[in-house]
Amino acid sequence: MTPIVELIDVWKSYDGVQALRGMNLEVRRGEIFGLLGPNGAGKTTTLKIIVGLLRMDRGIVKINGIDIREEPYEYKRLIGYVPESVSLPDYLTVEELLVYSGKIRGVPMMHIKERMDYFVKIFELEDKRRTLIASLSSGMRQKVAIVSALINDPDLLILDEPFIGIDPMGQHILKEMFGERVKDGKTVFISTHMLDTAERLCDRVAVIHRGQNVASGDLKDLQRLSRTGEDATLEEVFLRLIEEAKEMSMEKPIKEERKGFSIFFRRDAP
Amino acid sequence: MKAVEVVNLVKVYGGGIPAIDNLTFAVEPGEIYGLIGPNGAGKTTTLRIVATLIKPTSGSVRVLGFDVVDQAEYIRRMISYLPEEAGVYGNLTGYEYLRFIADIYAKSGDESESMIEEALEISGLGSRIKDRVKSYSRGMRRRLQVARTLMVKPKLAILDEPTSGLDVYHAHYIRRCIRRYVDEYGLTVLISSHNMLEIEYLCDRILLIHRGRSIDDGPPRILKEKYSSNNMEEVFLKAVGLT
Amino acid sequence: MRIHVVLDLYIFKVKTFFGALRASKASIALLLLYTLSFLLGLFSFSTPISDAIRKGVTDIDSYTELLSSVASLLMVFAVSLALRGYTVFEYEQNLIFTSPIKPREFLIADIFSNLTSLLIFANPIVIFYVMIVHSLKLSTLSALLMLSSSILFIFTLLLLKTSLSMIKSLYGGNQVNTLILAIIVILVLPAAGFIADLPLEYNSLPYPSTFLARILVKSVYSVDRLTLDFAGLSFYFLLSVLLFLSISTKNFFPTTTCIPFVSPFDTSMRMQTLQMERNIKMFSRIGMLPTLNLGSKSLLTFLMKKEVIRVIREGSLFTIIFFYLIASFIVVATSISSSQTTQSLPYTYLVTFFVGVYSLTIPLMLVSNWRFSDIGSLWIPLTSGMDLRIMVNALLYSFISISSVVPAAVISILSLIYSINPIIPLTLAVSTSMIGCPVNLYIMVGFLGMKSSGTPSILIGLASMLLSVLLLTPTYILIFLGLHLSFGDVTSWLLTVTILAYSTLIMKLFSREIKRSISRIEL
Repeated sequence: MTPIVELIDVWKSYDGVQALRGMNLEVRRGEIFGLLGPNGAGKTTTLKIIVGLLRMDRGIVKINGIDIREEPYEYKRLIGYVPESVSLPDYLTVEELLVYSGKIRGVPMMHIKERMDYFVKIFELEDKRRTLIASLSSGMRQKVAIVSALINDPDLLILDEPFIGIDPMGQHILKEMFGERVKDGKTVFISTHMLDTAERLCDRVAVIHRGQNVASGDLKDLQRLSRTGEDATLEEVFLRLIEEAKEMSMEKPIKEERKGFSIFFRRDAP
Repeated sequence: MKAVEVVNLVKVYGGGIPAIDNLTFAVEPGEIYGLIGPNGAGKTTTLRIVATLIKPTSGSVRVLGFDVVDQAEYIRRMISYLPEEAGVYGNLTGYEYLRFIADIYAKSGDESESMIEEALEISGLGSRIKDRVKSYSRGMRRRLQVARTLMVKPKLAILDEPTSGLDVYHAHYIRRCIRRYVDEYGLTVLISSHNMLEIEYLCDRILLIHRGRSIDDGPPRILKEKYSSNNMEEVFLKAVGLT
Repeated sequence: MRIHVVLDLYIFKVKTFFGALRASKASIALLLLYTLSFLLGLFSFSTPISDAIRKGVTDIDSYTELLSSVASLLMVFAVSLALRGYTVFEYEQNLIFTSPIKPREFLIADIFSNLTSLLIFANPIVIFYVMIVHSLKLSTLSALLMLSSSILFIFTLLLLKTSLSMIKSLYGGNQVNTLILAIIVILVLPAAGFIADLPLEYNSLPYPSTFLARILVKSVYSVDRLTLDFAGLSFYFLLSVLLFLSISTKNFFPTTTCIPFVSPFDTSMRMQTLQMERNIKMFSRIGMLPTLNLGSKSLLTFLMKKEVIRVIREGSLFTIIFFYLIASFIVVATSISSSQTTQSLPYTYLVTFFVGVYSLTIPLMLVSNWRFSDIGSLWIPLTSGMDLRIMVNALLYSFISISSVVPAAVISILSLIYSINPIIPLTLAVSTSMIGCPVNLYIMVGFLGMKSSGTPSILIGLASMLLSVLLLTPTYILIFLGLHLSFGDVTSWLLTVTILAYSTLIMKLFSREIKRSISRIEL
């Protein structure tokens, strides 16, 4: 089956920083996938390239098998995306924003209404429907943004650091929602640096460092790849992998990385 | 004497529903005390009242024996406050910023020098300290802020989400620094955080707040036993009565 | 009080205040431009003034009156600032108000940093003062007297403003407001008396402004008996010092309010957003009448409606209407004061001229407002997979409608008042908005695509205005022809059609470019 997201040797530099250096990634259909890495590793850049907010310098990105450079608009209808720091049109009410978000994605009226009613209830926003976004707290705005990303019932839900700024109850609701989507065969793709959450939640993860995929797979794969032993937590695995990657990048100067594939690229564990 | 003593605290903004509703808690000297709760639970408001930045509507708040309204000046000599959204002004260098704060707090030039040295160590900014703050990443700014808060060795450090925006690596490092300062200099820390792991690692005791009211408090271990939960997240959800 | 703390704080505040100037060459260029244009303005006044002073044409009293009126207005301005309470920057609250800095130390540093920025912004006046002293060959004593009395006066103002703001912050309430308003009324009397006939000669009453004016004028004319005036001014200074000393130890820190600026050059995005939120909450009471809902409307009209709702709810529509009403008020006022000819031609001229000037600014206002309030949420359409051409069209059409309808309404009213033919001014207004909106949007989107976040918005605005004027040249020529040659009905309609056709062409051209560059934006 074609993976829902596939990145092959993606490079990106901006503001004078080499953000991605040959990123390779594969997200499979029907899983909760976590993108992990330290600040500045390239998590947000990767996600922004996938949703079309940044353009890569070179490489291939395929969503559902479609090369996004050849089809730069249509594929977005499969996606629901929420950025890390959510900024919404303050001057609209919650309901108006959801209608707007649905309309521009070409979602039929009936479905907009149906999904709005459903998700507004789930995320406990019912009494806020006619409230201006300007009057909402930041946690609530994030919930509204998530609901707006769900309005087209996307095959691929992409959330950048969804657990930051959302309270424990919200996090709980969010995780339940993830589970439901995966049950329906949809994919959830998140970036996070909360490793304990990732360990409990994600089917598979990728650990990225300095714009490269250091290792990916499920926890067992990663334990093996990092040689940390079977009862190592994801945090221990993560720290070991990053440590290793740091050593390796110190041995080889950056210049040599410019040959298609990255030096510590490891293909996904089988 | 308690480090912080909050009794029947109420804070109402402009006639609305109370942001803090009859909150009572006490922080012992030398402990790390954590506030956890959802957004809008009243954590930041509580910290800002303790930091003498806003006045309580009613109730009493004493910091190291002094009243936050009438004796604010004495309190400000002993505290150091790290706000959640700390804007360091971008066009100053990190060094200029630290220098300024050290000069305010230090009693002598030598003390000020040693404060800056420590801040350099905590922040791990190295030679970047001479660059404009504008050019720093979010994590670097946060580290600079944490460093300036701790370097003055306050009797009470008030930290609002100290590691927000930091990755595991730097968050770890900052947590270790906080721990070390508490052990070495015996300072008291009042902290708020979303990160349950952080709270568990750092805090001697925690207070669960929900809608401006206190739900429960105690050491994390005891709370986990009490609610028979594996982690603090579950504790919170159970204490609020959600699961 | 610790002097070194005050000094540290003062230096820190000044550095923060002028941080942007240190950082960017563009800001320094702008400041230079400001100084030069200010000086140029002063120069054009200075020759007749110094001539008059040398010849002694007018009597000393009327100079004194003029100066004391100006000085009293300055005082009114300073005192009215106190109505907001004590305002501080965000970093000051979080960092300084929790540190061992005492209120008085903070206040003194604040007063001196205010003085510093005042001097830097008023640098043309300082230069002007030096020139006056030099050109009139004043004695050192007179020059020093002028300088010291001015400084004394400025300190009195700063101390008064500081103390009153603190009182407002600390005690609030209607009584404080009444007190401040009463002071304002008393202080405004000399200026009012200068313009209108009031029962008393306020400019000879012992106001601080009167003393200052007397000292300044007398020292130029080397008239004696300055001691009394200097004593009077010093008395007010001492009074304000006493007021300051009595209040400055109070813990006013928890009662201050934050303002959305880091310095006059840097706005804090976060605080700006808070300000915008307040605006929205205020205006939305009216703006909730139209709502976005599920209708069977096309996406284009849906999106246009969204833009109109934005403009209403965030209040910029009201700003534009207000702006235009002031403009038409000026037109009416000018027409009353100037020639009383009954012919309709001059009025048409006048109206057309004002329409041309004011219509240029509306697209700029609309586009900068859009940038400010919608750029943050641009990720929503950009990641939706929608046809971005529809988005650009919706933006353009709604901007053009707003910037045509408001002038059209005003023009209709004016043309009724003066009974003139509204066709020419209307054509100008519509053409200006059809060309101005796409040009402004094009340049804004272009800058966004370049990621040059450091470019001051003033420069972006300037570039847009210049390009708009350039592209509007054919319109201006045709309008000029239309005004001068009294065409018949058919020809003037033809003129209108030509202008509108040209504007449409430009609009289409630019909208294509905007679509191209909007898909290049990286967020």
